[in-house]
Amino acid sequence: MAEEMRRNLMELMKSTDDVLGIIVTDRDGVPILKVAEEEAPELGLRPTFISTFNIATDQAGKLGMGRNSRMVCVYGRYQVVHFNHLPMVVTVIASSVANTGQLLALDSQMAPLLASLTNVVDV
Amino acid sequence: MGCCCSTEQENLSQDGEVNERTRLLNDPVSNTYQVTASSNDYGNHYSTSATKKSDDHSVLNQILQHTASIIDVGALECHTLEQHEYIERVRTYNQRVNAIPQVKTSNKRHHEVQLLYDTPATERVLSAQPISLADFNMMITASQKVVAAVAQIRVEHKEDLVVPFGIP
Repeated sequence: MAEEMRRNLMELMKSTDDVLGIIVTDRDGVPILKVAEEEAPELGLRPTFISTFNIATDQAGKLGMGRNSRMVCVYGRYQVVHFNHLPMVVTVIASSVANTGQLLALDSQMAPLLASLTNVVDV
Repeated sequence: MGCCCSTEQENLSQDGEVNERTRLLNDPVSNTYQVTASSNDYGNHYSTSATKKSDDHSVLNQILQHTASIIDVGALECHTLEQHEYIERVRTYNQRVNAIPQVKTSNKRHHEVQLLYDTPATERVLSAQPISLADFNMMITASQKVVAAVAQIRVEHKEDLVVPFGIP
């Protein structure tokens, strides 16, 4: 089952243009499922980078506009999209020229996969 | 004769020490936030500055508890995981993911209803006996009648579309 989920995630990554990696982690950045191209930045796949989203999303939820669900961070050569499915976090790393709207639409495409991972992480 | 008011300026203590001029009751017209003094303060004229600081601290905690949206800038340090904890968690997650039972679905990627479904043993379906000529003619006649009936649907104009009302 793990192999099939990884294969599906890989298929999703390859079918979306300019996506370099998709990582499903817990709130501290510990990976549950990870698929990445060789060109993906290695620093972006580490728990130290992904765990910053946990802090940012907590603080962003206190701005009076409800719970923070997604966050897009655009850098010089890459862009990173985080989806808040606490206790899980999905991080998509793509090149800066990727279609951000298409990356955001990956959320609905990954919904069945995330539904099957509900019991993996302790709440 | 005595007078009720005095021209002397009120000498309030600078550092908050209790003296003969200290207010016993809170100023009712004041708009500033008043700390509700405990009953012990009235009897204790020798309260130290340390006690005052702890009172301020408890008041601060009380405010923090009642306020829901506090952004604590000081607590923005990243919690770095220990190496052994990281490895332990990775192992746990891998075990749990492998333990997820296999679900037999035709296509996991698309959650929506699909128009095309995989039909196994297509030669059996294609080599089956075709429908009779009577059934076929009945289907053709019925569909022609349906098309004719739909073509005769029209709107009957009975009333005006724009109705003036309320105009004197």
